[in-house]
Amino acid sequence: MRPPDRRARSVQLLIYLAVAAVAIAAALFAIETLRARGIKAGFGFLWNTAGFDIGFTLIAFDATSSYGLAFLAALLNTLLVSGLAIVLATAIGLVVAVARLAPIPAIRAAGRTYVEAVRNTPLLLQLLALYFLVLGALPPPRQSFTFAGVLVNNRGIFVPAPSITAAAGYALLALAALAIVYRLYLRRAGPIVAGLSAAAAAALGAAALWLMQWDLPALRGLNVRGGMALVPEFAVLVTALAIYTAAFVAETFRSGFLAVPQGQGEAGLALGLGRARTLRLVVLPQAVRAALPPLASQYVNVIKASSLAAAVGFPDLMQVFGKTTLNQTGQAVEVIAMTMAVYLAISMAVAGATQLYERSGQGGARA
Amino acid sequence: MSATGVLRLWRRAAPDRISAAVLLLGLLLLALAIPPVMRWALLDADFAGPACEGRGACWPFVAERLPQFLYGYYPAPLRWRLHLGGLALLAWCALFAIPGFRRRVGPATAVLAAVLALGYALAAGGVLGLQPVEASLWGGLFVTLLLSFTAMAVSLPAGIALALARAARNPVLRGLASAFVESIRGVPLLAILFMAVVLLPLFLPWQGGIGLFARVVVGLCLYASAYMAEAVRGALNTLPQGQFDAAAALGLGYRRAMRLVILPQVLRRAIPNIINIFIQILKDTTLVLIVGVYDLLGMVQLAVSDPKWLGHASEGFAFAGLVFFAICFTISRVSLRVERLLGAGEGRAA
Repeated sequence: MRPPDRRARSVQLLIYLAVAAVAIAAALFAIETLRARGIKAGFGFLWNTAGFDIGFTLIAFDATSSYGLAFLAALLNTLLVSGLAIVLATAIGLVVAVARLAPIPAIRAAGRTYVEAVRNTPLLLQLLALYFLVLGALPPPRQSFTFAGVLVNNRGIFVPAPSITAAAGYALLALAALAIVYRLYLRRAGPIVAGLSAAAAAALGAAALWLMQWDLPALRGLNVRGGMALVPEFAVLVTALAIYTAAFVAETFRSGFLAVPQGQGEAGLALGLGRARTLRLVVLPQAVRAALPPLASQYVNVIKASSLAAAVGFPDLMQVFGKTTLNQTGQAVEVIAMTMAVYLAISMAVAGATQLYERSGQGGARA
Repeated sequence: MSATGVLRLWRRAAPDRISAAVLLLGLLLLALAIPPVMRWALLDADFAGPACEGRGACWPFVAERLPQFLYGYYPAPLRWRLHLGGLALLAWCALFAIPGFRRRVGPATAVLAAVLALGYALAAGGVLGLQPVEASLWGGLFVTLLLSFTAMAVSLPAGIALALARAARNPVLRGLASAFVESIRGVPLLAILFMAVVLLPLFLPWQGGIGLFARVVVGLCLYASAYMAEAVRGALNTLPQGQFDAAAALGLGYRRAMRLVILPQVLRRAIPNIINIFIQILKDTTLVLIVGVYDLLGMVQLAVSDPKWLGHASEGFAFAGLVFFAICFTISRVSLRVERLLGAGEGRAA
């Protein structure tokens, strides 16, 4: 409309001043409030002893570890839960999408029922319902199910924990070496070599399992000692996230499939590929290419939604840092800023990657 | 039916191995799931009586807790005020039956804001000689609806402003609006709620801050505004450049061009997305239970943890699920209808 003139420049200046004034005022109030509460600003608290234990970690962590380590352990839990949920959701979503496009009305109806039922109820409701159902179905520790060294009760699923001995380590190294050699040199050497390699791999794997020391879980009073624990919250969270996201992934795949021109499938059939191979070799790759950008944003949503762990008490980033650490240290500004920065960084990274992908000309619908 | 008939039906239903596998899996799941669910919900269920002994569902539990699921701890003699507010909301929905009102987002939002102002006055009391009711007593479906419609009424104008700011020439305005929208959309709602509940009081000049309910409303409105801004921006981007040029050629200034030419078309195009965002917000209001405001799901969670009714979680969640499904499914049908109406009315190739 009008070229930038003196008025536009003064408007800009006014916005600058207003934003700066509000920010400075808010900061001043915050500093005053924090001083009144006796809280020292800054990230020094990260090196202090956390004093709490985390029920499920991928790295060594105990009550004497620092808040910084708690942040790392919680972040890894968030990534693990999201990663597993994304893989599961993609698999379920693909099946549902195929069902929704099936030539038979009954299968289409089943797929549609799944999508509508899941999309029209809140994720948190599904998560809590599943949590209560699973906890209600599992027995207390005294009446644990036991099977082949595995204990199942309402504290979780306890499996024997391997600790790697030196001998088992050599067996595993040999197995890895065999895999690399096979992949590089022997892949095209014929069925006899392949069979021999498989036998050698099986023998090495069995030897590694045999040579490891197994720490068996056992009941001690009301608790289970030893073994590796898979807490029910973990399984419930991953399942609920996967079921919910799968409905959205299915719709994304479905529009991906619909974006593939019908002639492509017909061409596959005309080449004599058969329906299953046409789907796998011709239609699916094109559908996935069209569905990839929206799929990426569904995956980011999974990572954000995994913060609902706080509702069932699974120690993810939101639970350990946003709740426990915040309550213990009172460093509200720093803790919330760090938590938000993590999610924001992941979202931005995925959004940037999607944009690059779209610009590279790989994605997008093709006529 | 003869064996060949069954075989032919199966061939038609599952022409290849993938559909056969999917069909078998689906039939198996149905066969496994339907009988126990029917037995639990209907055949073995208790429908009357003060206590339940059967192994099926215990519906008297839901009946006893129904007032709390709907109103939270709102005092029983004052619930007519909530009914009145609910009626006002229904009347607002009924306004969409008027053809002229249907496509006009601006007036619809303005009336909704008035309805909500009335709703807050009725719920909170303290005005017009109404007895005050603390927000800590509010709960149930009433809070779910109040929160989601408030987020809607605030986020629409805020979203429009943000979308226009992102399309503005002024780089400062553009940068600020982009930064706001992208940072809100990049973090979980739960983080925004924690921020609103914990951080907001630190930045406010007056001591004591504002109540928990108000802080949660602020958080939800921030969240909804960012998503609404994206819906409006998306529609703005699909508007042909010719519309802007035509408005300029008519000699309209920025404000009049926006108000008379651009926004009416943009908002009409954005309606389906606006409705989808509303469904998302309605579902996401359940997260407020994590910070201690008890919406419908929050009241259900409290009820199923009550020692007196232990073991009836399924009934409570089934009830909440059906209520959410009924509301969201209805709105999504309406959204589809609107989409079709708009497509037909504009005669454009979308």
